[in-house]
Amino acid sequence: MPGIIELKEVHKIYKLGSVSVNALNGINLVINKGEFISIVGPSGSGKTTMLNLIGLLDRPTAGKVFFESRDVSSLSDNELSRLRAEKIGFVFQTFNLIPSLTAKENVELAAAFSNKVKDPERKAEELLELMDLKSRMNHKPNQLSGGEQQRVAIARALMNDPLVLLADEPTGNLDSKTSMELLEIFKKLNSEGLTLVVVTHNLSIANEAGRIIYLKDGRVENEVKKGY
Amino acid sequence: MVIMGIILSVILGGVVIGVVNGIKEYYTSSIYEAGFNVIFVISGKTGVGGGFYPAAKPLIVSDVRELKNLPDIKAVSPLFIAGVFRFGDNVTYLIGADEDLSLSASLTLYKGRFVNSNDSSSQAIPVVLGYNIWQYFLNQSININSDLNLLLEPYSLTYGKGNPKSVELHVIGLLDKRAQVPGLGIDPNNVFFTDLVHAYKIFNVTDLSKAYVDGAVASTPSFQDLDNASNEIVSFLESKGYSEKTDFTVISQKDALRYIDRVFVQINNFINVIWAVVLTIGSLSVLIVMVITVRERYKEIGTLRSLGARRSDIMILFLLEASWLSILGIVLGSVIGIIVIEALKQYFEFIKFVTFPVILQTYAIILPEIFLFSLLFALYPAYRAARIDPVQALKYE
Repeated sequence: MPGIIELKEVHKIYKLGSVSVNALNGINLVINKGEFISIVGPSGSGKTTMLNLIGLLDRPTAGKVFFESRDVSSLSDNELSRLRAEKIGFVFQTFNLIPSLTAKENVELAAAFSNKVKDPERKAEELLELMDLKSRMNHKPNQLSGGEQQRVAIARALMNDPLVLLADEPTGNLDSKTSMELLEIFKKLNSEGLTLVVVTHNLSIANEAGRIIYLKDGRVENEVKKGY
Repeated sequence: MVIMGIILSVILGGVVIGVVNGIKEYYTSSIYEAGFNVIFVISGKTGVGGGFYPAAKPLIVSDVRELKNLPDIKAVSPLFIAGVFRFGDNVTYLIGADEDLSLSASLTLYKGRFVNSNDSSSQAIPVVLGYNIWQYFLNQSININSDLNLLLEPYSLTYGKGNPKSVELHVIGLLDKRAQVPGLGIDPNNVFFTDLVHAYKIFNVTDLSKAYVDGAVASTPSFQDLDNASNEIVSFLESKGYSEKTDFTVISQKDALRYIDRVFVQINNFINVIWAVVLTIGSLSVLIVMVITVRERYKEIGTLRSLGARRSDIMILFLLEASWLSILGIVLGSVIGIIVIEALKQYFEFIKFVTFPVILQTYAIILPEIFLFSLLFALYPAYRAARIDPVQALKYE
């Protein structure tokens, strides 16, 4: 049964000047609905590259990426943008909030690129309340702690009810206590049916995932499934 | 920096172009004020731009009076400069004319009447005073029927110079202020108008039919008749033995306007070059700042793309920002420009031509140009922002 996202014999080669770097070498991966997947591996193993391909931010040099059974190589840049807006949520290590916008405005921003949300302001407030940030919603990012900023980023990622949430080292800039708080949020979201793919060095998070994919030198070295 | 660049463009454009427009407006309105349908016939050769050569065969009163019979001429008055009254540094002229003067020269009275044929027999010289004379130069309260005793310096281009002498003047009219026609040398506000008999009497000339005139002023029924009337005058005078090359010059309001247009076309061409440079510099500030802004916001662009922004969304975002900065600069620049121009008027005489309507007229042209150029120069950085690879942008520190 095809997953919501599938990578088939995917290769990604980057050119750095005259040197070619094989970031991914023949990756095969199926992501099913409702899964919590963590991708681990040493630096330079291709984790972020793989996440970018899953998130339709990049195209493979060879191989195919399927999103909801559609071959994305046939999609235009606008179509990929629309899929990202409607179906995919991103969370980044450095939060990537817009500094000039408040927390609420940052969350509302996600609705600007899709027609899914009828009342972005109300939904933004609801999501921030869910993240326990109701009292902070009118603060700018530089007035928020790291943990608070990352929760705003998660709220933003959830704005359009995505099919999958992709997180790239979401606890990389957080202390351990805040990281555990974030993990609880991820677990709760996954228990509600959200598909999660998390790139992480944090073993606590990795071990909570239902499937752990180990990458090395652009290849899947090992894969561990728990309870599936 | 964008706003400063645009403010400077608005100020410079307003001042430079505004001054040129203002001066052109002044000259054009002066010509229109001189009368919509007035022709000046000058004995001798001159041009609207200046320079004068005496006639080989000067015009005479009887020939000039016959111009009235031409089909497109409504009224004619010969003009004879009889001398000069001085008031300090101010030079005023005693000019003889016919009773048709008011019709032909579009002069309007503030009070009193113009000269008529009954005035030729009076003892004192009947005069109608130009505005500056009765308003400023005489330094006393002047009214109709006032009598004046002034020192006249007789001077005629054709009859020569006489010894200064005291003359009795009787005021019969006061003229409204009126614009000087550029290129005609004499400001009508600095003239004592009298009848031809008294004017020629100063040089003991009694046979007016053969008396030499300095020129004439004629009017046509309408503005459209000016060209025809000018041609008729030239043909008539040539038929009387005068040469258009050496003896007379016909200047209509249309000729003056054509001359002004020719001069200002050249000035405008020069100003356009300066304006293009100012506009480019102002717009370059937009380009430079936008390029820097895009570079500083790489990560933000990557984030927006990850949220689903299309390339066109990114491009529109940056163009909107450039538009907003441009509009802010335009508004601030317009206000500051007006303040600067008003301040400059205190120090530079010629800036007074930049009236508020001229400023508005100038802004109506330059402000849309500034806005469009800003957008044009913002296009490239906005396009580059839209083409950024989101993966590379997200990695950018």
